[in-house]
Amino acid sequence: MKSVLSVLLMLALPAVVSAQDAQALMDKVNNRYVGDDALSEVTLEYTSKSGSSKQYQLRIWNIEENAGNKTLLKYTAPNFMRGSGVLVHSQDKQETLQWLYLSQAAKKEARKIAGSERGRPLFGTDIFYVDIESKATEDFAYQHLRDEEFDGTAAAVIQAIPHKPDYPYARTISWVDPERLLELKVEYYQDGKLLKTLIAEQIEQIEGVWTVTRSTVVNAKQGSSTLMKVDKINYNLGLQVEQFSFKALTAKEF
Amino acid sequence: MRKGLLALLLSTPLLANAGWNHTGTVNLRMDARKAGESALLSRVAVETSSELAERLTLQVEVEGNGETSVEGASAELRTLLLDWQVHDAVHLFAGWQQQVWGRADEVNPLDFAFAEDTRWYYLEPRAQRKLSRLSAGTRIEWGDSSLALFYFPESSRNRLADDDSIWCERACEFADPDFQRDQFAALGFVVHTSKASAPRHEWAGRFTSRVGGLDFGAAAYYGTDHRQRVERTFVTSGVVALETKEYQSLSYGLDAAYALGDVVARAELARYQDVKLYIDPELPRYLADDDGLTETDATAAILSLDYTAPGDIYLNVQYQDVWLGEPENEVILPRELNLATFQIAKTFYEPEVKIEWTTLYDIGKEGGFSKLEARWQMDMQWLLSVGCLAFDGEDSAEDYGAFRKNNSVYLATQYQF
Repeated sequence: MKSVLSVLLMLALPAVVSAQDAQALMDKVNNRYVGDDALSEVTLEYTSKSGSSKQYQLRIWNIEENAGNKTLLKYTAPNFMRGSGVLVHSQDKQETLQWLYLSQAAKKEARKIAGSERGRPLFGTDIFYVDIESKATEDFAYQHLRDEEFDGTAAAVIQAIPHKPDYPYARTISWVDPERLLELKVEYYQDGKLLKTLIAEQIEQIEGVWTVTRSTVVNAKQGSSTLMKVDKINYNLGLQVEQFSFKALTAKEF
Repeated sequence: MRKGLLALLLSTPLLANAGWNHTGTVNLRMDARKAGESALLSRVAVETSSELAERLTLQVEVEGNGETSVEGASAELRTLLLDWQVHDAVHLFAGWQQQVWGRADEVNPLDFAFAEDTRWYYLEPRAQRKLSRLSAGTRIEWGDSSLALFYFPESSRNRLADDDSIWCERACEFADPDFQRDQFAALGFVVHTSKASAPRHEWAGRFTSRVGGLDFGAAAYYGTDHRQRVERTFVTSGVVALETKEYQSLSYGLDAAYALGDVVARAELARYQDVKLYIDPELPRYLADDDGLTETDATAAILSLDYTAPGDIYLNVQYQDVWLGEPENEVILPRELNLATFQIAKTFYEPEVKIEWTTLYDIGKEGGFSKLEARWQMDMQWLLSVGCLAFDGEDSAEDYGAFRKNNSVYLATQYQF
């Protein structure tokens, strides 16, 4: 009876992307306005399968450019990780460049990360290096699977398959809110199996920009989860591209 | 020890007045060796920094070491550095610090400006083994570029293991004037030993930058070779005079890193001018030359490749070649030295365990060293490691075969705060 009801409910939903091509919708999602730049304070809380947890605090700078974006991520807590960080330069139609800086390491220089490291967890959480890159629409083949309500919002369910075989995920399935151009839920697959699921739990409009302020990644493979909480975010601060540099990555004070 | 106490004394009154940011590690390690002995090695390191005034920062790092078999306990100052940011891009600094240069892992031809502590050669990552030295200079940073210039008012040299230590092999003994004195005395010589005053005023520079996907850098150093030499200054029938000397020379080089798809290639190329080498660290042959030393230029290059395979498996291979130039005397040394390293690591996340295998093989000496280690990150602060070290090669393969008796298993823990 319940399943019949579900089917009826789904039929009653408007076809949210019936007039839109999945590729065009995802292009809008990937290129939606997120401010010219942003600075956020974020808490990451990783909980292992056994229930033990670790908490990190980060400061994340982001700037949008004509054909790409730049992100600088620096840890502010715990104390022994303060200053460590990652710098990402994403440029359409070019390889993404990433550098890692560990404040505790003796080599006080930015270390280039191999493209093959993008599928590795960021400091032992369920977030991978690739997850902090921006996505270029043309790098994926999109398919509109169905329309479905997610958490009370009509959503288009879109599958993305990367053109490059070395992309860390074999495919992703996203529940996309076509009004706010946000991914409400994303399933990540590797080797035909569900690897992890991202769920946007809290969405706020801040300075005119729809912002996911609380989300959780549940790792189906390992049984762990990572909560990401945006404690503070400001848009359009007038950041300069030059600030996304090795100097900023290796800075002690920031 | 003296510098460690100095740091503590200096930092104590300041701690009360400034907002200090402390971090540190406590390490404890138990080794059980093939030779039947076991040893407990401990290290406590505390690093702290504070902004004393606007744009004026003081960094202090003090380390205490203890080893139960030979070396005993010691404390040392690793960093006591004042940094004054005189402009957005320009810093002036003065004090004790240590740095590691170069882009390859563990084997860095470009890392010539700061000496090393060789007492626990294979037990610690190279970065942990660096020794601090007094310097003053400037660091200019703009965008992805950085230029650092150093003035060193005094020379520095590597810290050798004690003669009785399991980590002191033939070359280590031979660098010790007391060892040579005893050897000559055993041959019936009357031996006079002295120490030349160490040279002063040394210089170094390090530049790093980026163009597109190419990260690159350059470094130069005019100063002492950190391996002090014992020179035979006078020999006559039955009498020998030995003088411990430090030699200054020029070293310079380039390094670069580039991502080739999923692989990152790192490379270093370094040139060392007027390097002093022992003719041969064997006394009968050593006696054949005027002073036991010869001088030559040397060039070293290393290529390093990183790749992460699916399943979170990290691979690194490196190959280093060192060529000696034309020595001024006939030299009983190989003219080319080749070294290969290989590392594979697999990380598991539930629980968070990393298993790592590292091999270093000296192709010329036909000797090598391998380490297998499992590290369990128990929580954010506690790390538990278990591993084994294995050396291979002939006894004459210094650094490798000569250490076969040190094959060991170990258990270690680290607490980070």
